[in-house]
Amino acid sequence: MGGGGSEPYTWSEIRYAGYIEARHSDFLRSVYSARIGAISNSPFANYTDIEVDNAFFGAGYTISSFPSLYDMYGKFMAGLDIEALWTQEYNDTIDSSVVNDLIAAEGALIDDEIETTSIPRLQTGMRDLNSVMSSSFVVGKSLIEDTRTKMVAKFSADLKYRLIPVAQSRWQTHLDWNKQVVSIYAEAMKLYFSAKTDIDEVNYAMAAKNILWPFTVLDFERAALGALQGATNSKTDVAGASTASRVLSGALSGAAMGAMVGGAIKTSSDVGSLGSAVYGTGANAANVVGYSYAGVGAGVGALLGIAAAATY
Amino acid sequence: MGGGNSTSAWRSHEQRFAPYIENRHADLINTTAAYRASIIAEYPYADYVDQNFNEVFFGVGYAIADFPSLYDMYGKFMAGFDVESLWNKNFSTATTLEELDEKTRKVIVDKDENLIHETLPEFKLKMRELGAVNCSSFIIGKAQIESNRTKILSTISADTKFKMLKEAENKFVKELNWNQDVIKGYSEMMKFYYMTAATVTDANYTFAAKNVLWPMEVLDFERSVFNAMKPGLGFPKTYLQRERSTVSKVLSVSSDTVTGAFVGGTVGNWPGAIVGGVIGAVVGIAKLMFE
Repeated sequence: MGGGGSEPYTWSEIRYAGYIEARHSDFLRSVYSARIGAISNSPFANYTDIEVDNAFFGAGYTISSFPSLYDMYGKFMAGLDIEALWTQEYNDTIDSSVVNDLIAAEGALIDDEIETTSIPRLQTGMRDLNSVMSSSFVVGKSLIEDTRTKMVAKFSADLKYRLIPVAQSRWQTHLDWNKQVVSIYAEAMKLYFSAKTDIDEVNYAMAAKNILWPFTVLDFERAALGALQGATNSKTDVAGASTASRVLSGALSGAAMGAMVGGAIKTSSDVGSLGSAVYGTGANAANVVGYSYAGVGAGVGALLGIAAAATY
Repeated sequence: MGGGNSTSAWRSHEQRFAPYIENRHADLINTTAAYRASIIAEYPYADYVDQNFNEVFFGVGYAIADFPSLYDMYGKFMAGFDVESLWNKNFSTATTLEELDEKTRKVIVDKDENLIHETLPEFKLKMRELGAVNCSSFIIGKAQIESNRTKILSTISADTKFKMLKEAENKFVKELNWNQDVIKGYSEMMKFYYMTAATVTDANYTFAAKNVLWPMEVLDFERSVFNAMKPGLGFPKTYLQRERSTVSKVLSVSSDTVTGAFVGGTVGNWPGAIVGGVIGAVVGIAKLMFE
């Protein structure tokens, strides 16, 4: 009885001119042959990861093996007893063993001169006068000894007096040094994470490219199969992340452009007077020269870069 | 009765173009196939030699892990560095130089010459004229002269040593700055190494991949020819890319070389400038490769 009939099932075959189909068939065989040669020949198979942690921390260590940044900050800055440091610097500068040794050495130098020159010269003259046994000779000798004692005491006092501003300067230098220790620790950490991020990207991109290698090759064959339908494959790069251009503009590059935080520590003469030395960032004379060179270099490099862009 | 019967249909569509187009297309396909056959085995990247940046940075057979780690260096030159010992060492070195005492002695010898040949004879002469040679004042007078000599000796010696205090302090600060520069330089080198490693590794592997994919790349040109009559398709884009002129390439690499040299020079004087220049050139070339 009746009933509606269903739509007829149709197959549609798209054909091309005979000369095209013949060449396409030959072309596909060539692509297949090339694919067989390339698919198991991944150039990334032998890639060895670029190592970062060993270079920064040594074999077997990680960043966690070292004091945290906050620990270092606590030790060298926030938790530092600057009053105790001043006392320590003062004592180490004014009353250190090297200072006392120097005073003793000065005494020895004077003694040596007195014994080898002054006393013999005095004695010889007195012997000629037959006055060696007289009280005047004794007074004369004691005059020389007295002078010796006075001069050593004067030297000691002068030295210590002159070392007072040095102690102050050393205290400030020590504080500045501590600041640099923490700054550079932070910079080293920043460099580590920059390097780690960029190099991880390279390493993982290489691993991805290796795993995706069969698809990279097969993608050419896919495009070949669909050549008559308009399938395209104009890219010639490898499947997986492209790394180099990203690294060049990445964290490491940025880190390379910026100088490390913190300038050179200044001597008291760099800042004018001993008692009023102000420490901070900036450069001392030598480093100013160095930075100028860097500035000139950067300028010359920039000019060449602009010229390169203009002639692109 | 009746009712529709489900039937299958086979339809074939053949896409054709004007004979003159097909003739030219056939010729194009055949020509392309001939060229493909002639160049498919000519691997242009086959003789590419990987750039060995490790050798340049560390020497033959060494890797970065063979050298002290940055944190080791930091511990040695900064966090673990004994600042107080450095001061004591510099103070001693500056104030107890053998040359200082020698200089003092040389000056006092000159003074002695004057004392022996002028001061003492004149003193004796005048005492004799006064008939006072045998009196106690003569003895005291001679002792006073020797005492003055001692004062002069001590003053010269002290002045010389006091001048060295500033040198000791300068040396102390300079050495601290040097330690800091050592770490900065080490960090900079590491930074350059990783930038170079990333770019050069990518370049090496890109060339290796291009070499393996060379047949595919050649065939890809042929593929695009099959569908020439479809609008919008053409040879792979690689042949349409804008390229730098030779002058631009040279200037670009020079720019990176100069910048590298000056940055390196800042860190490590002339050896640093050489290393920086080489690294800058490598980075510059690598950048060109990836354009």
